[in-house]
Amino acid sequence: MNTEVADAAAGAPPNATAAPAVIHPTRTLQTLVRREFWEHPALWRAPLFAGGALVAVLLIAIFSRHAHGVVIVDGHSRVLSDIFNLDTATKVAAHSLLQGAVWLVLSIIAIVVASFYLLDCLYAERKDRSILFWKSLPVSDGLTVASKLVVALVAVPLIVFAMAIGLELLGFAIWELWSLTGAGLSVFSWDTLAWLRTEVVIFLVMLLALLWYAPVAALFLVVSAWARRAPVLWVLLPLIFIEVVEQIFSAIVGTPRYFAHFVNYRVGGIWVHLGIPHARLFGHGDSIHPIGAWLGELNFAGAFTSLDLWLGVIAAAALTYAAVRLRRYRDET
Amino acid sequence: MTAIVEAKGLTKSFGATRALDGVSFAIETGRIVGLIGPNGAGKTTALKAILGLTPFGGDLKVLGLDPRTQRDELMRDVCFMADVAVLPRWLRVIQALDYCSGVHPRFDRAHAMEFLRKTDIGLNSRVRELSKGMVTQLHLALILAIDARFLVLDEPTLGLDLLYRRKFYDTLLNDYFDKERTILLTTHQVEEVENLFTDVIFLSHGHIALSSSVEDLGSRYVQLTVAAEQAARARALKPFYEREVFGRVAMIFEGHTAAELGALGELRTPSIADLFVAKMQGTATT
Repeated sequence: MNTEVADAAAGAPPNATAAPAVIHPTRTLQTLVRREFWEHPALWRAPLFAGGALVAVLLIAIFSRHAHGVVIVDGHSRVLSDIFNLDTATKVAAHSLLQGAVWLVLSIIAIVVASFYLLDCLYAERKDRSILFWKSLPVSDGLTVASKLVVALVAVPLIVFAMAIGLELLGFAIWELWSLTGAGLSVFSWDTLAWLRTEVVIFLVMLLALLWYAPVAALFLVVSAWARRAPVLWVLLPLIFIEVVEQIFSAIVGTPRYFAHFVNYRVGGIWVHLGIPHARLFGHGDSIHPIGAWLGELNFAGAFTSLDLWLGVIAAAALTYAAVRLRRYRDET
Repeated sequence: MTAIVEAKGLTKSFGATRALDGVSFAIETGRIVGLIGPNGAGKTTALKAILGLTPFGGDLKVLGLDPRTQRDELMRDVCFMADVAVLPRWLRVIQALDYCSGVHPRFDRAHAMEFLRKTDIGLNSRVRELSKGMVTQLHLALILAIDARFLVLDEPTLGLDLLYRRKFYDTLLNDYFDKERTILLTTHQVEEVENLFTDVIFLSHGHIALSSSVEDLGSRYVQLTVAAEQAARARALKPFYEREVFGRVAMIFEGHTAAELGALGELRTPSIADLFVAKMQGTATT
């Protein structure tokens, strides 16, 4: 019997010398991130359910009466594959659209869930007074707040990225099996290089989005640490209020709408830098343009070196510091 | 003996109310100190200052560290339990163990498991599914498994029935306390735990009304019970508190020897609860 078990069996106090003196911050951070997923399982469940729903829709389409690859054209029933005779390049491009679409759907769900999570996390622990338990353990406020940002800006995006790949491959496999039976339409094709290029584009777009929206995430944390009640309203109402006041002023006095422009810019500015509005989804004629080709077409270098992007990151750091200070010194328990 | 806590001139105000008004005290290693006071006396504020949970004025050293600036370092050696309701309701027992193992270098998981095995608490239960008494047992299991030098308990047994309260303090004394460790405890149920204390600090309106070791209380204070007709003679010796019990008068004196008072009636050392009431009513009337 080892001494630890013997001590415990005898009901003796824990042995100080047996335990390490410190826990490495990365292990603490890992524990903190796990803790967030225990409390907020919706962070991974919601995108998973959305993905599951997509696969379910696909299966329903496959097994429904109307989707056996037969359509009525001019009063005659015709097999779809006879009408659409897609070339390989188009099928590869269509596959890239599937990759992008699955990721986009999961990401939109994840953005909604993560926003509510960020607004709630520092507020809920004060509301139920569990902050007194968390603060009774040797975890700094800095590491605690950092763990919330890591969850929203690193863990959830990576989970969604991996989940999207898994679901896309599953969807592709189901579709391919269906088309092999002759009932389904062959619209997708596998091309490893094109597939990888598309994933690289998705990853870079995701990385850019995370950096660009980091100040919004940090602002949500500040509101969460600060609000005495209803943090969601504390984010929305001032926005609406300033917007309305500025609009009234603009209508009466004719002043430019600085705030509205700022908000618009912080929402979509980076995508203009990147050149998304000019990105092509369709090539010449009806052919589809592969997303992977955006790697050469979009201005990733320009977007990642944009001054406004990095000013936003600095603002995010400052806001995170404010959230840490609020959690450290706010006392209302 | 070394001081675990050294407080000099602690101040803290909430608006016009002075929750702590120049409070000074020291707590030595290996003591069980009762911080006692009526509601709003500043007990919780004092504990929060010690734990670095609230800003305050004055000098304060806990384990030689300043809780305002060295809180993270301090919490490795200090453990606290605010009251039973602070364990998050969504947390599972097993998650609480995983969490503490993951963040606390001095948490002994086997020890906590051993303690929990003696209870009816299931490892997969969520806190919200446990009774209040069980939540306290869980919290106690976590705390006892942490090898901390200084344990701070703020009304830890509030709202628990007598059986759980008794078990709580028995466990604390038998499984946790030793000469290397120090406990600071606030409670309203003074009568139940007064045998536990080695020292008491009475707080009233942000001031220290009394700070003494329990051994010294016996030599400083004496309770004299006299028949009603003897009361006038005893009163001449200026008790700071008196009350009538079944036609006799109980008085509490400070600084008188048993020899001076013995002739007048029955003498004994006042209980901490009696002394507390005496001190509070004494300060309330002045």
